[in-house]
Amino acid sequence: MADQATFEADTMPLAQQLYAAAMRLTRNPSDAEDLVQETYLKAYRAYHTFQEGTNLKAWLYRILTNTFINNYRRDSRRPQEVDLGELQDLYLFRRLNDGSGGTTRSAEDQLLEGLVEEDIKRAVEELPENFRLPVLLADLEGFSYKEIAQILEIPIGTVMSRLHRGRKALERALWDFARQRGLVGGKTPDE
Amino acid sequence: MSRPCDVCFHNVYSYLDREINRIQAWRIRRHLTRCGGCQSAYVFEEKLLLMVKTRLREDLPPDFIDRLRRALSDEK
Repeated sequence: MADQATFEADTMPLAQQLYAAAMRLTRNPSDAEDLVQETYLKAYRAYHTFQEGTNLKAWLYRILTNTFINNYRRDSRRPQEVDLGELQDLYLFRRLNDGSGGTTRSAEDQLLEGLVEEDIKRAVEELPENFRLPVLLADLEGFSYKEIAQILEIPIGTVMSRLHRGRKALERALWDFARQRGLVGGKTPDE
Repeated sequence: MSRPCDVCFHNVYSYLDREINRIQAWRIRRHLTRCGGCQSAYVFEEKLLLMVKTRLREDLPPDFIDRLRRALSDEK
């Protein structure tokens, strides 16, 4: 078993980030805490297998995502592949430009500043799991496509496709929140 | 919209994620210096990704780290 002090010194600085990801995966603080704690216990037991000099953060996220998939899904079945439909590139930017003959910097800033933490968190949580995981790993944690492919054990092309589609779906959800808050006018077009 | 604009729009995430090859990145940068619309779009997307990252942060619950350390001690 690894020395606890060494393990803690190496891994504790990552606890807050892991907890943020766990919150968006489990959607509640109690399960998120359990998921992070289970991740740390598994990592501690397996620390002797971790190769020094390789990516500790990616290794911990791999344990976290596998533990989530195996133990914390509300529905333990493999999630169905969800079709997000056709989604435009730059969804929010295009909507801001629609009908007004061009957007203004202030309209963009109003939207970016007016969307609150709760909107962003809800929009991420509502993403289907296949898309939510790459979005969290890229946008919350800053992992590269290659690292995400290793963490989720999927091809890099699949990472790119799911991440990009997930972000577009996120932008569509944020547009709806922005409309509800009166930050923008207009309708959400059917796509 | 011109074809270079289409290419720019389609590659916005790969470019901002620095997951695009050097030649493509150079072509996009060159186009951005010439096209105000695409430049605005890229600036907006960059701000959006930063805003998402910032607002997804969470504070740890009180005593979380202590509970974690205790769980690890029990494991010994």
